[in-house]
Amino acid sequence: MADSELRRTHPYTVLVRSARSLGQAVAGFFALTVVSMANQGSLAMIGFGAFVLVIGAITAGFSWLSWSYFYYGVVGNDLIINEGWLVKKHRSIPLARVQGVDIRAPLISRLMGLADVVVQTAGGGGGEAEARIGSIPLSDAEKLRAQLISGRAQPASAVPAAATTGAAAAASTSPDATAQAPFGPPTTGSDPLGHLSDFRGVLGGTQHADTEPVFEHAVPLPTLVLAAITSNGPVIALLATVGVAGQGFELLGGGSTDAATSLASRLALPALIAAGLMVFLFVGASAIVVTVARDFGFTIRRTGQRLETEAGLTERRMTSVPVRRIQAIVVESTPLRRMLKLSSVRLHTAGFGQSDQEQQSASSRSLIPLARSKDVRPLLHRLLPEAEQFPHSQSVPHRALRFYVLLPTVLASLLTLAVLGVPLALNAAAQLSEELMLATPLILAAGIFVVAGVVFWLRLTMYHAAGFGIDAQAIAVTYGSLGRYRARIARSRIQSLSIRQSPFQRRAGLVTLSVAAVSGSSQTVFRVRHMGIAEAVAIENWYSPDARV
Amino acid sequence: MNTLQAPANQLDPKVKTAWRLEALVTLSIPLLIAIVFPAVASFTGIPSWIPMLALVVVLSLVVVSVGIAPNVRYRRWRWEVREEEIRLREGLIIVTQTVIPMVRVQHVDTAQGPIMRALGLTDVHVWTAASKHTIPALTDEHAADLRDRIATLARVTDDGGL
Repeated sequence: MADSELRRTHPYTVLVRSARSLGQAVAGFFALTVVSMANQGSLAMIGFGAFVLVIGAITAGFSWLSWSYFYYGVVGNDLIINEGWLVKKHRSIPLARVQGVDIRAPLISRLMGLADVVVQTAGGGGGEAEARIGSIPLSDAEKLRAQLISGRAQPASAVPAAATTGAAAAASTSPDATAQAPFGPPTTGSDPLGHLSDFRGVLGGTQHADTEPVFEHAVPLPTLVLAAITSNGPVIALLATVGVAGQGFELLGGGSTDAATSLASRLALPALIAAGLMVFLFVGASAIVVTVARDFGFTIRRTGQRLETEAGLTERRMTSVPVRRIQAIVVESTPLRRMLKLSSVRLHTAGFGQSDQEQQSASSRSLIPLARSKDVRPLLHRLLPEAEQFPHSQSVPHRALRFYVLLPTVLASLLTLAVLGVPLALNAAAQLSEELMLATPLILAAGIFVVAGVVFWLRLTMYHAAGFGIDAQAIAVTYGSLGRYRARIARSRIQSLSIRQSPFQRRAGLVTLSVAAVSGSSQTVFRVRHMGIAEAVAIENWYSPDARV
Repeated sequence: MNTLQAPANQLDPKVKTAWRLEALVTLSIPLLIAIVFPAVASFTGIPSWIPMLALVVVLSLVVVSVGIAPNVRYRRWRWEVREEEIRLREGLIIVTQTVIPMVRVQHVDTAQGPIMRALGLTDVHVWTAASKHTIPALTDEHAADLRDRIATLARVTDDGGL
């Protein structure tokens, strides 16, 4: 390997890096300065200015050092990265080991037409699973990405793990289409720097079979906002607020008949409601803003054997997922979305190292943030025809109903009895409040009635939601209570299949089926609770390689 | 066919001893506390039925986990390594039967704790991309053989995995 083949990143990297770390330092120091400024005035201003200068100089110096020692390049079949001015580090990543190549462009980089290339390698969740090259001009980033992707397709025959899936594989029915892709830098597209918010200008220009978009689906902003509103986030915020407010009411209305407290609580009540409402609005709104900013301009493309997503308001991210790395696909309707006949689709993909910045997308990523439920199938047909067909689903047998409903309802009732009963019993024992003593049976009955009713109803909806089905390629698992979730896992992606049976289930001829799949670097399990044993055995035989032969 | 087919092989009977010893080690600290507690209670004026109850609870735990549970677990435990899959069945009260296709096996290893070593037993761990499955307490040579056999079978039938 000759060093002449290695390249430096763009010199602006120093600027981008130091601006980023300086921003963090300044933000931290700013709060301190504001406090002291109130006391010392202009002296603090000068101090703050000096601080910014000193820190700026130091970070710029360090950024320059690490930039000047950072070299990268594709040499032969390896991606070489040399870095480090104190501790020298030499990394050589075989292209065949490259699992995914993302392009990320934080706001500052985007303003300068730069981007970072993030290379994911096989090897689990460790920090070494990822290499970040940046910042380099957007066109270079695209070239490098294309090179890394095509490079890993070239030796496919020599690398069993990267090539085809088994005969039974549902996805990627044809051998990897990237195999015929030519190696080497593709021709550049036109006007790379003209697209600050969109990588497509470069991408579309490449004459690359694998990067030629087959279908593109862009999600407009109103839909993204609606997706954020109807996600479970605001609902959870609402529940949390209600819970906190409930505690507040209990605290105030805690059985005291003292006139002054009563007055205070009467005054505090509207304020408390207002405060709770504010908190809810704030929490809900920030959840929505964060989600919308993350998904802003969401575009997904199907190009050959890859799915490419692009999103982000401040930091623009382009991620590509090879179709054969998809482990499971879940069509989700949260309770709100179900009412509006809307759905979203998420993917579980395998093996990407979990980076700190990308935690939310590490294990499951959005395929379709939001669409009308009836549009999901046509969209899937264009984006992921391999997984378009969900096996026909059947529900769990009628005798499973009592398993879903009875035990949880009884347990919830007992728990309510304990939670409400103990303080009431203490009150009765100590004879603190006579009214409360008189009301005890009523409170207990009402509490148990409400809790048992809610649990009964929720479990009933779970029973109605539960379902399963198989076809030649895949299993479908349906679950949820108020929302509905439909998962499709290809047989070749099921890591193991378990059938569990408690003594009670044995008497009723029921079992619980667990389907283990990979999500990120850990596992995700889809369960069908209380299904008939005959159906479960049929699924076991469907899955078992020995039974199939 | 309405019943689950049980895999063929049982574990080594010595595993019961291993499980008993493991349960004893786990329960030794609660047992010690339960024995010392009555003496402490008599000084501090805690009603004497509380330490007695604690002792009874801990003792019954010992009886169940040392006396009964290992036998039941042993009777339930079945495993089988076939050409193309591994089947496991385990469970004390809730019985779980698992199928792991050979093509999904990522790697196999053997492991041995101090108790197991004293008894000449070894666990075989089978790793898939999702999780770890264990066939516990085989004799040392048997475990090594099985490990190598699974490794060979897993390699031969490799269809690319992920």
